[in-house]
Amino acid sequence: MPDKSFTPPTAARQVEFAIGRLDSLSTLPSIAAQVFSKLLQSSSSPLVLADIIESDPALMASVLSLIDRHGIRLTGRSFLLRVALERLPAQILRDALLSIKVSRDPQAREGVSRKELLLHSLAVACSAESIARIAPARLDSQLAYCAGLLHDIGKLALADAMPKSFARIVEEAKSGQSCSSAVEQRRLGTDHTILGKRLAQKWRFPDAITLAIWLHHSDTAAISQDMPQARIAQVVQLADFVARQSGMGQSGSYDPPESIEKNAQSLGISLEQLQQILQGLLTEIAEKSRLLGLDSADAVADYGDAAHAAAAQLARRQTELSAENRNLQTASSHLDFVTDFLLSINSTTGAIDLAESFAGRWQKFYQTGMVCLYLAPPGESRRLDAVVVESLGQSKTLCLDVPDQVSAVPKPIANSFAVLDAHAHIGWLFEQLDVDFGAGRTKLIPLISNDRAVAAIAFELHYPGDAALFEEKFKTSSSIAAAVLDIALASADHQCFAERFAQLISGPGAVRASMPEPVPPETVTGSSIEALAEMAAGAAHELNNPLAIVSGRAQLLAEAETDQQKKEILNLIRQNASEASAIIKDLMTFAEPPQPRPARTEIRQILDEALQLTSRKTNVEHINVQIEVAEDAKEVFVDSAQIASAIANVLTNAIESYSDELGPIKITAQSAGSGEMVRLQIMDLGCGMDAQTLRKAVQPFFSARPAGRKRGMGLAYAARFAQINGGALSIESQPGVGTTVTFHLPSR
Amino acid sequence: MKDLFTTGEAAEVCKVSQQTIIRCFDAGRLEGFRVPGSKFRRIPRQSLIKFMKDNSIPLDTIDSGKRKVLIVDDDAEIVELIVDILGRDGRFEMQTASSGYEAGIATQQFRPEVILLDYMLPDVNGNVVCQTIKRNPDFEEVKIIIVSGVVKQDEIDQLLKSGAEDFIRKPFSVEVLIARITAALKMK
Repeated sequence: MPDKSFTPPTAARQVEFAIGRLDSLSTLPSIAAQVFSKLLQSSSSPLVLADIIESDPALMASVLSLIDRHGIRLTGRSFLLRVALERLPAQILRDALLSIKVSRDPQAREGVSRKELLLHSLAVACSAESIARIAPARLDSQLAYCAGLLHDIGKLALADAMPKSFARIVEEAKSGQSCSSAVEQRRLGTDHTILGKRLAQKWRFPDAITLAIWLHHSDTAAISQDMPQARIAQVVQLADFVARQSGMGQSGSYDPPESIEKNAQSLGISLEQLQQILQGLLTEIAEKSRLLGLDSADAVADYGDAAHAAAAQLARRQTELSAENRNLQTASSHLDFVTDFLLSINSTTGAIDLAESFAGRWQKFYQTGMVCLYLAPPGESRRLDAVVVESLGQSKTLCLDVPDQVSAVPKPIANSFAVLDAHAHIGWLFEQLDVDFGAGRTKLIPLISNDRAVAAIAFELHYPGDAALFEEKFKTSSSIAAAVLDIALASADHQCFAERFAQLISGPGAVRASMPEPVPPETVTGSSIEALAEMAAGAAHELNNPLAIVSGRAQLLAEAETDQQKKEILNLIRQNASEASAIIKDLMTFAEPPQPRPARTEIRQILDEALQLTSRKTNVEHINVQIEVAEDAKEVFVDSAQIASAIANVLTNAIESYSDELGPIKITAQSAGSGEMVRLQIMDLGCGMDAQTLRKAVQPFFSARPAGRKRGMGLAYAARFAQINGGALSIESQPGVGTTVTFHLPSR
Repeated sequence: MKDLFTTGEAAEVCKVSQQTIIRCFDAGRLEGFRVPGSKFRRIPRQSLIKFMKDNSIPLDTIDSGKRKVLIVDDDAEIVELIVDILGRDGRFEMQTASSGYEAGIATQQFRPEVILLDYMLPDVNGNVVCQTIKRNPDFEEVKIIIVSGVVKQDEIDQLLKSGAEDFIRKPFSVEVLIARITAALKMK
């Protein structure tokens, strides 16, 4: 037998080492079962468990150590375990109780059983409490109880750490009718009081308890005379006697009880009182046994059931907690998504930019494939703005048409949230996109604000099943975007309204209201000219750049070209570019002529200027012209340069109407319209024009001659200049007879 | 144009330390002379250029003697065309900008003598660019020639009023373009 080879000092060290490694004692399965079932019943108050803790040395030892580790003081005026228990955090206590060890060998085949040892401890505890209560020396009965319960933890530790040795020691004590301590000393070189003391110190029990554990086999009466702290030990020793007398439980010591008279006397307890305590003990212990379930027929099975139930409940809680945790996590990431989106925008962000920002974040957050967010078109419009985010996060905005008889946001989601299959509802939209959304895995949800879908978002899911999983989140995030979009759209509306309103109150219309505008002359085609002017101005800039490149490049090439023929071609390119530019300039000047600077000018002077211009343009040195200016029509109030140019254009046409360019031209000026106007007529006897040509004569770029030779702006300019100078131009003509062009010009 | 460099100036142009220049000078690899009556080294322009070429130092840091022209247009092909035209002429050093903002920065850094400015820039009106540059006393002498497809006389007048030297309409003749630039710079 290995134990026999132990020489006491070595054995003692080894035993102490083995005991020192214990961090708790094990309890009985029936007690663990009770603890578990109480834990399952309620987690509200640790006091529910206090009865059980107070009845089991292993639990008591664990809890005392726990209380100490949490800095809760037990020994004040009096020892109050329950107060300390209440101050201990519930989950700490729960964790400690759940991790309590359970004795593997509760029904030791030899020696003394755990249960017997427990009953002995309980009997000592109860007796100690009673003795302390009646002792005249005012002893703390709770402390005495606790010390009694724990006095044999050294034995419990031995039973845990070296069950076989312990069993043999008990056997030996039994056969020798001796005290177990003596056997222990002999076999192990140490005994349970010393081992217990070590543990008590390690677990930091109150001193009085430690002393009781250590000294309960010593001459406590003598010791406590010098050391009042040992009083409790004295009580425990007396209680041990009472317990052994009662025959309840078995301590493992079989020596005849020592004389207790000295002890009882020293504590001021009479033998009668002890007798009374002994009698009351039976019911007390029976009560405790019931509480601990010690009488259960199959404690191991009970323990198994309780442990199983506890494990099941814990597993359930664990699942609930992790589910809740996951929910919280996604909820908070959701918050991140929304925060990120809201931070990306400001009060001036336009609806479509908002939509773009949101759609991009949607794709990133929900890890979707392509996303298309479109705004519900306002009013009766059949066009809507949309954003498409492709798989790479690249987005673009575009304009789409809604087919007739189709509502842009499908009816089922026009006013309430739902997840729809996109292809079943907005096929018309996908047809207009140049990217393909996966059929069957593309979902459509509305962005609802104020019970109305302001937009809808279609997105590809990599796992279509996710739709159900994320539905609530889709709903939340989409509603936030919807609210923001709604505000942006409303703000854009207000902006638009404000601008129009501002135009109304400050624009030319407002002036008109008080100052009637003169009726425009019949030839004016106001709005079309303005539109043309605007178009021409745009075209001028847009066209002149490419023309500059054509012309410039042709020039550079021509410069470097040695082949004469190619050089000419390049020059031709350049000339044509210039010609094109000149056309633009003409158009521009026609549409938006320089503002006239009218001045009182003699008609003669204007006509002279016009004739000079005509000579230069036609290369005809002497124009065959006859001029008649009436006395009352000598002066006009116009921009002389513009009118001279207009007249020159008419004269040029007149000269060109003769095949030899030398035909006669007659110019007359007369007063008209009660002297406010001057009628200036230019007559030729040339080829004339037919009715169709005449109708188009004043249109820009119209020429009766073969296209390309002249730009056909002459009469158009003439009419335009007359018009902007407050006059008018009219033409009468007959083929073969001649043409008469009549200017009406203001005379003042 | 600078004809004579101190060792410090040469070091700056070559982006090397002054010690290096002095060592090369003393070793005869960089030709020059000492100012009579003192020890100061001087390096003629020609020898500095030769030294830079010998040692593969880019010549862009040395003042080339070319006239500096800044070309501002948002149409990259126009910019390229003008760069080609002026490059072929050979008398100009060019930088380009494609917006009013860039033009401002380039004017500060490049310090052009002439700016060829498009009227319709994407960010600011040519008018504003013109006024801004002209208002800065540092750039009073900078000549601005508007090169634009604008055809309205009023707008042209306005530009000339804002301090523009001249106006060239797109499309333009290569000779006219160069003639106007040389005229603005009073080049022979």
